[in-house]
Amino acid sequence: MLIFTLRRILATIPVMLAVALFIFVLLYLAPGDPAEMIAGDNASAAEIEQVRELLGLNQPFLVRFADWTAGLLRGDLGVSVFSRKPVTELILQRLEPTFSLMATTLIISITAAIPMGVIAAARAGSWIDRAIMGTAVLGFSVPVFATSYALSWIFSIQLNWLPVQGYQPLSEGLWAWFRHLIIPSIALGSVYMALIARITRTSMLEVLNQDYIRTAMAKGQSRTRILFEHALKNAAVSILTVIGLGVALLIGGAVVTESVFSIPGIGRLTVDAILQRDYPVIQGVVLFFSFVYVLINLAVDLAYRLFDPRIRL
Amino acid sequence: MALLELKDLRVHFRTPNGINRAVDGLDLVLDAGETVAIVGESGSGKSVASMSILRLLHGENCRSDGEILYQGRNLLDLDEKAMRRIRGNEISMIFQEPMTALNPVMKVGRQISEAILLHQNVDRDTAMRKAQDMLDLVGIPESKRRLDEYPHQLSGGMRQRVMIAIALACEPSILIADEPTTALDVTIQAQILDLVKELKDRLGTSVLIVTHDLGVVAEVANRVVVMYAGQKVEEAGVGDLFAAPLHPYTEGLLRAMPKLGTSRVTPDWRLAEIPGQIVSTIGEIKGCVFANRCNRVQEVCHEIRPALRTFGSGRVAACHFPCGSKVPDV
Ligand SMILES: Nc1ncnc2c1ncn2[C@@H]1O[C@H](COP(=O)(O)OP(=O)(O)OP(=O)(O)O)[C@@H](O)[C@H]1O
Ligand SMILES: [Mg+2]
Repeated sequence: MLIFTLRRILATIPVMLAVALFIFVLLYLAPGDPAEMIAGDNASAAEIEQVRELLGLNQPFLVRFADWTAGLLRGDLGVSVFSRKPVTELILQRLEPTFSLMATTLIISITAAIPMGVIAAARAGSWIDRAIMGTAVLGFSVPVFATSYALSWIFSIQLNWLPVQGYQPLSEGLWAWFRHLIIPSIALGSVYMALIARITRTSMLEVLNQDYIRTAMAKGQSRTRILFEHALKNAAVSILTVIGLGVALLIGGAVVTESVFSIPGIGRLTVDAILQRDYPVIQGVVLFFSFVYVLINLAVDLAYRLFDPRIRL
Repeated sequence: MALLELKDLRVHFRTPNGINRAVDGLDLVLDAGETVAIVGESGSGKSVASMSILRLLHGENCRSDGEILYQGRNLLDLDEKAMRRIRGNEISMIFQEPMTALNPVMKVGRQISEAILLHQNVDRDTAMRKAQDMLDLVGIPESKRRLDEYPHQLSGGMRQRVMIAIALACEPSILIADEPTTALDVTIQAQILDLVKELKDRLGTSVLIVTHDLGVVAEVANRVVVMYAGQKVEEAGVGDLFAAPLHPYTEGLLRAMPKLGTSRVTPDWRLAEIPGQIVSTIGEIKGCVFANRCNRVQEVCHEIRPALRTFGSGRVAACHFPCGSKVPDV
C-alpha cells in the first residue's frame, strides 16, 4: 500500500511537468505583448524594452522555461506584474475561501447525489426515478450563473434566509462561514451532483442485476441494506471515478461562482489576472488548479482499493 | 402434512411478445428428510420454479399464483418481513453459478456471519465463530484464514462450499439447490454432491435439487419430478423412473444419458438424442407440450393436453400413450 502510494505520487511528477510546459507554451503563444501592457499606454519604446529586460521576456524560450521551472521547484511562482507580490503569496492568501467552497460543494453534492442515485435505481421506472432523474437533467443543463441568481433571488432576496453574497472566514464561527457557502455550493455543485446521481443510478442498476444480490436476498437481508451495503460498495468504483473526474467541473465553476457571489478566492484572482494579463499570476493559478485536480484523482485512485479488494496494488 | 407443497404453481412473465408461462400449474410435495429432484432441459422452468418458492423473482412483469405451502402456511400470502424470516433461516437456496453468487467486495466470513446475525440472536464474535465452524463443516481447510479472504481468492468449488456454508448456517429445514454442480468440473461436482448428501443426513435437511443431469439425480434423489415447458410431465421414485420411464420425454432423457464409464466431456451430451427444440412457453400451447418432438406422437396429442394420470404408487405422468403402452400406428 505504501509502495503503491509512493509510486503513484512519483507518477504524478511527469504529469505536473507536462502541465507546466503546456501552460507556459500557451501563454508564450498568446497574442499581445505583456511588456506593452505593463508599461502602459503612453510608454516609449525604450520603456517597453526596459520592462521586457526586467521580466526576462527577451530571453530565448528555453531559458525562460528553465528559469520558471526552477522557480517552481522552489515554490516560487514568480511575482505579480501588477501588485508586485509573489504569486505564491497571492494564492495562499486566497486559499481558504476556495477550499471552503470546494469542500462544502463536494460534501453537499456527494451526500445528496448518492442516495438520489440509489433510490432512483431501486425504484427504476417509477415516478420517483423519473422525478430524480428529471431534477438531475435540470441541474445538468442550467448554467452555474443562472442557478446562482435563481437561488439567491429565492433564498436571499425573497425569503431573506441566507446572505446574498460575500464570504466569512472560518475564524468568524462555523455557522457564519457555512451560511455564506450554502447557496454558492448548491449553485456550483448542481452539475456535479447531477453527474454523480446519474452514474450512481447506472452502476447500481448494473450491480442490482448481479447474482450476489440474489444471494443476499436469499439470506433474508432487507432491501435497504442490500442496496446500501451489498450493492453500493460494488458500484463505488465507477462512482468514485466520476467524483474525481468531475472535480474539473468544480474548478471551472468556482471561477464563475466566486465572481457571482463576491467570494475572495482563487477563482476571483484568476478572473482579475486574466483581465489584467497578469501572466505570472495566470500561470500560477492554472498550475495550482491542475495540481489540485491531480491530487484529488490520486486520492481517488488510492480510495479504489478501499472499495474493491480485487484491485491489485 | 408435507413440509413443502406446491399446488398449481404458476409463474408468468409479461414480455413484449406475450405472456411467458415459465411455470404453469406445477404440483410438488417435499416431505421432511426427503430429497426431490427437478429435472428437465434448459428453459423448462426449473430455476423459475425453485426461485419462486423463496419469492426471489421480483419485478412488476412477474406474477406467481397458486399456493406454496410451507408447514401449511402459504408463502405467497406472507408480507415481505415474514418472508425475510423464512429466507436463509427455514428455507435456504444455493445457485448454479458459484463464481458470481458471492459478493466480490465482502469478506467470506462476513458473508456467512451476515446470515447468522440476521436470524439468530448472537453478537458479531459469536457469529464469526459460527461462520468458521461452518467453513470447517463444509470442508474448507484453514478456515480461520479463509474468513478474511475475498471470493476471488477462492476456486469455484470452494466458492460453492462457501455458498453451502451460508445456506446451512441457520440450519434450515429445506435446502433448495439450483444446479449446484453444473458449473464445476467433474471431480469437484462429485465432491459437492457428496457434501450435500452428507450434510443433509447430518442436519436432517430436506433437499430440493434442480438439475438437468440424471447422473446427479441417481446419486442424491429419492423422488424425481420431470419438467418440460413449465409443466410436470412425470413424477416417480428414482428406482422406478430409471427402470421404466413412462413419459417419452423422460425416456429420451434417459437414453441421452451416457452409459456408465463413458466420458461426459462432450458438451451437451445430455440432449444429443432428443431432436428438436423445447417449445416456447410464450402464449397458449395447444395439446401436449412435447408433441412436436415426441417419437410416439399421435393425432390426438396435438389436439388435447394429456392430464397427469396416476400409474401405481406415487407415479404420475402426463401422456396419452405412455411408454410401454400400445401406440396405434407404431
Ligand atoms: N426474469 C425473467 N423474465 C422473463 N422471463 C424469464 C425470466 N426468468 C426466466 N424467464 C423465462 O422462463 C423460462 C424458464 O426459465 P428457467 O431459467 O426456469 O429455465 P431452467 O429450466 O432453469 O433452464 P436452465 O437449465 O438453462 O437453467 C425461460 O423461457 C426463460 O426465458
Ligand atoms: Mg436454471
